[in-house]
Amino acid sequence: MLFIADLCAFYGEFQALFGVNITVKQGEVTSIVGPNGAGKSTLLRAVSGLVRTEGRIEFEGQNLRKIPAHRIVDLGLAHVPEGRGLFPYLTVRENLELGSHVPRARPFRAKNMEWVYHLFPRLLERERQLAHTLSGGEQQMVAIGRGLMSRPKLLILDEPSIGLAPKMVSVLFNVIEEIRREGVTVLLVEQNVHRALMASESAYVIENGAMVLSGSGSELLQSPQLQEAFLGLAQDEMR
Amino acid sequence: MNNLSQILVNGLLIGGVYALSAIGLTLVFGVMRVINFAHGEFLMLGGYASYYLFTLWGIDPILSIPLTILLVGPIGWLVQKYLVARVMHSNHLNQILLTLGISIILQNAALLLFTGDHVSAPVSYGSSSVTLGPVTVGVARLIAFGLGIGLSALLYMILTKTEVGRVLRAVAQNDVSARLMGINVEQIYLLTYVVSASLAAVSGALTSVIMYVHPLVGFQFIVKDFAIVVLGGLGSVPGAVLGALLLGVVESFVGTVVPNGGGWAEGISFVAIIVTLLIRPKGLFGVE
Amino acid sequence: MALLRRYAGLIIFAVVMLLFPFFADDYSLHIGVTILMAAALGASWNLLTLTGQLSLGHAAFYGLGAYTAALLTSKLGTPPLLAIPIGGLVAAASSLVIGSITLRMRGIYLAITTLAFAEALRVATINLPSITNGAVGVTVNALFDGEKAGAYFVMAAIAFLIALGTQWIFQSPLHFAFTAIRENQEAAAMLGIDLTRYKLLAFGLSAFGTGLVGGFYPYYVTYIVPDNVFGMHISVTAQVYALFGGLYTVMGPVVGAGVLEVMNEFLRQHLEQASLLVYGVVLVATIVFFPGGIVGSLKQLWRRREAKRAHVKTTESL
Ligand SMILES: Nc1ncnc2c1ncn2[C@@H]1O[C@H](COP(=O)(O)OP(=O)(O)O)[C@@H](O)[C@H]1O
Ligand SMILES: [Mg+2]
Repeated sequence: MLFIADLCAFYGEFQALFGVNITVKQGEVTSIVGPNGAGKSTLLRAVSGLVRTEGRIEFEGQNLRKIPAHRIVDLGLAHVPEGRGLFPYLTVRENLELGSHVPRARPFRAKNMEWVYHLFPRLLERERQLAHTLSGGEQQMVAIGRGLMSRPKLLILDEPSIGLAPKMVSVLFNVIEEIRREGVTVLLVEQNVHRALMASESAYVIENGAMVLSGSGSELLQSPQLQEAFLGLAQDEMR
Repeated sequence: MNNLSQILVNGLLIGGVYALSAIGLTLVFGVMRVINFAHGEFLMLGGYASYYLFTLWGIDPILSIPLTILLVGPIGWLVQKYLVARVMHSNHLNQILLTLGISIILQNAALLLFTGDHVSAPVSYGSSSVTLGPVTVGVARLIAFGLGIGLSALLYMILTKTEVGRVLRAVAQNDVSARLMGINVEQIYLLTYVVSASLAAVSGALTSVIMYVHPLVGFQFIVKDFAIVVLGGLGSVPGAVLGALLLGVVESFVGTVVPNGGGWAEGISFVAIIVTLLIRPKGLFGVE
Repeated sequence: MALLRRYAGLIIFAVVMLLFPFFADDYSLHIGVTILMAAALGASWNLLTLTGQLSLGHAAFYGLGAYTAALLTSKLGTPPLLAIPIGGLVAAASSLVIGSITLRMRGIYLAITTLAFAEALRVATINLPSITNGAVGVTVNALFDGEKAGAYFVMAAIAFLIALGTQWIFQSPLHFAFTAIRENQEAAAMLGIDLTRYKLLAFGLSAFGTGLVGGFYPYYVTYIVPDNVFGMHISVTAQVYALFGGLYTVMGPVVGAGVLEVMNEFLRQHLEQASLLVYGVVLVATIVFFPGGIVGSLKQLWRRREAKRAHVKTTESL
């Protein structure tokens, strides 16, 4: 569904990605892990057309690099950015409504909102509240819900579990599972390596802007290299 | 004669005209984070447009407002598309100096085209007035005030109740996320700038009826506009309306109570800016 | 050698300035004075901008300098050569007031406040006729009974002083402090740089220079009115010279002033009144097309050539 080859990405003169190859298969959860500053977010931004790139990015056979950022959503791809990127002084409902701004999703706004409220009943209670007044977990729900409002074929999540209490993390991964069951393909970037790999069919490890490992989630979980690279993190998780 | 209510009403009436132009300035700042020093020049252009529509074809400046917008809006479009858009990601210094440069170009082009003469549209109702209890108000000023407040309210409704309003506020709050929602941010900037220029142009049309238009009128107004948006909090539309009414009233008081006070308008603006920034940098009214 | 290169701009400036009068008639001397005033104005504004503080109200300091000097002479008979520096000092003092008020303001607020400050002084001058003669203005006698060369050398001294001061700042620890504040105020504070002190110092120096030029002006034209010396055009032209010549450089404002004033003089003969229009175009074009200005662009060209030469050398030695 999403095919990335020889991808390089740049911030001005600075090169952040050096020839990355990744394939996301329809109906699967694919995760990307790696240390801080490895270029994970940059990779996602490249897909959404927010950074200058070279190489190939294809979504359902279309060359995303030729399509301006604001038209990419309309192809059925939603990106929930790192740090949530909410509109802080808009209400929860307004935030969600903007998730279905694109022409493809506008007619289904009411239906999709019902779906999102079904996934996150909590948000219905907070509907009229300004986004910045919510708790961290609730804000993350709004961010994911806003992404789902376009009923995307591919949902991109950048570190959704960051800053969440352990209980909320479990809720989050349950929701990811449920979203996938409803037919949404998920591309997930996580620092919570263990959980991410458990939830994924395929996974990639990137470091310093290049891919160092790939395989199925369970393969990587067994991989000694990965154990080594993420010893600290992994042990935290194993407990 | 110079009773309190009269002074108050005079101030509020003129504040309604200030409001339109100030909203335009605050809107561009709120959405684009650019402080537009060329804003006053759109007011000036609007003033001349309506003046010439009146003197050449006899169209009433109030009725010709749509035409005025049609004349001035495209200039705003060109300025944003080919100039301001290039410094959107630049530093404040470049943004300010660029818009200042545009302002100087428009001012001096107007000076060459229209000469430095003060002109106004001598409409038939220009000197008629109505008396309500203790206050007497000019009909033209009343109409100008009504239009100013009416359009401000309309804009506020659009911003808070419609999809395009939501989109504008979204871009103002987080432009990257707005892009991720499939919003064409550059197009929103263009729209914002054109709407802002149009609001200034309407303000200019009203000015051509109740005051005078000259090449530097925009500069006079932008100093007031700055005071107003600082009073109301940069980027806040309701704040701009309240700030405009407040400035109008204060000017009216000073103009009546202080001998020769009418000449002090820019001084009042400066004091308003300093005092506000010192005591409440986010504006007096604290509305988002 | 390095020293010579560092001072090259300043030395050329001094030599040209000193030799010029020997070849100039009155008209050329007048152009010379205009250029020097412009250069001094641009250089003064540039000094403040070094700290990242953007003033749109340098007309305030210019006008204060002009009015202080002119009123001292016309009301108290103070000799011009004393009145001019006093004008500079009054401007500097006022800048410390406005500078401390705006100390914590972000760029845009500072720009708005300084612009309104200049406007407020303009209307105050108009509306306080008992002190300032109001809109009628102030008349003084010309410097050295209108002897152009004398006026030229006074202005040359002022301009050179400002250029020298700028060069001195560029070589002193001040340059580091100013640049650090401009690039990142918070980081500068963490490095232990006293923001208040350096920001006010820049304000004071910049306003002093501007006040000197303003102080000189009445004795050159013999007559000032508020709109003339407190007008927005003063603030704008100061920026245009600096920006066009090259922001944050020593000689940029001087070069910018020279080129623009010569061009302006030429245009004046063809296009009456169009000079500010042209400045607006220059301002916009500089920002959009070559943000480094003349000196900045030349430096960049030079650096590229050096880099290329260095590159050639290393490949040859391989
Ligand atoms: N806006 C930016 N400008 C310049 N460099 C950036 C920017 N964003 C990220 N980088 C750099 O790109 C590299 C990759 O960053 P990022 O993709 O955010 O890493 P990750 O998400 O894996 O933590 C880092 O070295 C980071 O410093
Ligand atoms: Mg990241």
